[in-house]
Amino acid sequence: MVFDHITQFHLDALKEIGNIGAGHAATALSEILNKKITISIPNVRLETINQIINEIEGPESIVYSVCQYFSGDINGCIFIVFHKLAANHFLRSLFNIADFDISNPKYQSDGKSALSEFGNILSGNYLASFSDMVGLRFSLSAPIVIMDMISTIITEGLLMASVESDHGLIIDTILHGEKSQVDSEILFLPTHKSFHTIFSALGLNL
Amino acid sequence: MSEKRIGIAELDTVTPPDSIKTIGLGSCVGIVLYDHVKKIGGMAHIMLPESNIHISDGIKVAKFADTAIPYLYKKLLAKGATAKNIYAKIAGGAEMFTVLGQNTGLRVGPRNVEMTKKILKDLNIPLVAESVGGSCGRTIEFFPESGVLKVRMVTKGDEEI
Repeated sequence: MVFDHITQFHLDALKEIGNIGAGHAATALSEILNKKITISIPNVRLETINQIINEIEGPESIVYSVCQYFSGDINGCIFIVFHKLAANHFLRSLFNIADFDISNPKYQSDGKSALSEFGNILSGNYLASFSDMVGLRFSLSAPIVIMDMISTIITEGLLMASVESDHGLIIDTILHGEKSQVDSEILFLPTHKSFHTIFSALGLNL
Repeated sequence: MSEKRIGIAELDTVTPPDSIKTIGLGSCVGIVLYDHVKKIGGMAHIMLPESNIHISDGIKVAKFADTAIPYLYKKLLAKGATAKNIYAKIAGGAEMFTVLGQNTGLRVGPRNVEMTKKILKDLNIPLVAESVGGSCGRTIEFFPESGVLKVRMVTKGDEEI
């Protein structure tokens, strides 16, 4: 298995990748919203898929996830996840409409396209800083917005990263707004094969 | 009464008054086999259609449709279920990211459903209800007392099959 020889040192390197990527994403977000954004210490999770799912708080809670593939030197997907409340808080301040509700059919299309634009900016900044840092090149697909249970979205992402492994590796960082209601989460999910490429690019062989 | 929970690539049996549940089915298929006379049921959370394609992590029997269903079937029989009274219900097999498109090419969801149906046919197990396909995730819970399978879908609401 790809992860048999992974050490804490490797995981720390991934944490740093998450940290720098999220830092760039937060700066971009802060400029759009003109608000202060802070980031959590990235959480690098290497566990079985079931452990990862079991650790999700409110596994059936509904989220909006901006999903994109990247392909090139490395492949995988990146998700920008907003809980429903956070999505609405964010969209209200963006559109300046006090009762904006993305589940209202009147606002749904505008809401989704704003989220997808916005997710695209966050993931683009995250991945661009990563690409510069490690010298790997890849391109990013157009974003789509999926509304579903958080557990389903994460499971599908883990299955895309590897259909054969029972394990998953997620690099997970939370962006905090001034009020915690505008929190969003960046999930970086390279395919398992891509971790070899990432670690070699960092000079850390597996 | 307790709620049993199975994770991905896991299976278990259930009898009243307990229920059995699995969350976050996307492309995966959740299958219930059930002896409606003796009220003995079982559920598997299937990830992939066939066991011969990916064996790198060592085989987990509940992971693949072609190994999980015969195994669950035998487990039910061993618990005293009668073969001719067993039927199946299935849910899941969605394609969550189709719109992202192009070269994912795996189409795991529809292939899981196809293989599940083929295995059921081979074992002569009637499929009495299904909630499959589309692009939405599903959480399912089975109640062996009534034989009802509750399917929760975010975009389409809940249904009982």
